[in-house]
Amino acid sequence: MNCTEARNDLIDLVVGTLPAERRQHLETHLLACPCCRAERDSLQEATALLQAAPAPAVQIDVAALYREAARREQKRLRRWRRTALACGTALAALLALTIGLNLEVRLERHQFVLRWGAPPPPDEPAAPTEVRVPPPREQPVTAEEMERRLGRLHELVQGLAASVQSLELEQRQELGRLRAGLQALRQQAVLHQEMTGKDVDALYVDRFLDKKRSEP
Amino acid sequence: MVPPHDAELITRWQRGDEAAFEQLVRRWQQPMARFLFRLTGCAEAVHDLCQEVFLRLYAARASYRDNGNFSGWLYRVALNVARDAARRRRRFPVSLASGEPVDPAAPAEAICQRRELTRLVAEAVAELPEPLRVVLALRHDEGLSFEEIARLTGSPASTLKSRFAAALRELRTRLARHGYGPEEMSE
Repeated sequence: MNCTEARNDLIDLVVGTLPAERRQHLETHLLACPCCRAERDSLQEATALLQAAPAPAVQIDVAALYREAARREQKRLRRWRRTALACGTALAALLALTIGLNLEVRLERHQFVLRWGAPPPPDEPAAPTEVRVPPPREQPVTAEEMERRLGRLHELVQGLAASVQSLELEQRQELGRLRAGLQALRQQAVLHQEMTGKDVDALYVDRFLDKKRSEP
Repeated sequence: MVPPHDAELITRWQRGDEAAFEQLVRRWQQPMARFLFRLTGCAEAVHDLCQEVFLRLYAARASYRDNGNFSGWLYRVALNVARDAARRRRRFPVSLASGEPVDPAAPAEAICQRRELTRLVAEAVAELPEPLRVVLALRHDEGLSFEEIARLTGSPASTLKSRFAAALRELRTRLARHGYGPEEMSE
């Protein structure tokens, strides 16, 4: 038997449940092992100390027990009645408030609504607000500024007149070119007409007059 | 005449036989007192705590269903009562009066020494962690086997055995600091 087994058996030895055969082995080990012997002595001393301090004798008074049980039962009933009364009163008060004040309790998303009285009229659509644009503030113009503006205006008018004259000149030149072209076309048409008349005359002479001459 | 089993007494009590309840109280009052004394270390509180245990038993008259382990159920009730008491008062003051009947013929010095030893032992046990106290009380005082305590507490028997040894060692160490050894015990 080693010390580990011996320590395990020591508990059974102290409480008196170790079988005789193991007890014999343990006692043999204890003779050879001072540590386990000291452990046994320590456990036995502790057991002896416990026996030296017994619990006090108690005699329960059963009649008093019944009285206490009855008192607790009455207390429990009273507490229950009080709780029921308080809950009933609170419920009645809540009901009266609900009816009397037209209380409305509602849980909506992200808000808890507690409202009493008649529901408020629906909100009227707000009138469109007129945006008043303040009149541009006329700042006083100085004579120099007026002179400068007139000069600028004069330059603009001059530029515009020059541009108009230039355009008119270009139009006239274009018109002249068109007239010249038209004249040339007329002359070519007259010339072409004359040549065509000559060709017709020559063809007529060649076909009809020359045939008459050859007939007897 | 063989005394009736707990289960039989409970059945009779639940059928209205108040004498059966009284028999249960008489049978279990002293084991409960020992157990609660070891758990609390306070002799003066033991009577009230015992009464509380039996009041809870009385209140469970209609709801209790016997499964053949009435003692385990009662010890669990006592453990809860002791825990409740410990919560109310973080630690019971140890009383100098052990409640033991004083032998008028004993010398006054011997009585004082015995009371002092009782106080110190009760104090040392009460200072142990609760798991050690429970196994110490149930194994040493009540004589329950480690297997029975395992069923009651839900801890393995091997663990309980180790706790029991640790409790005895710790108790021995604490009392040795106060000068109580084998010599004082043999006096």
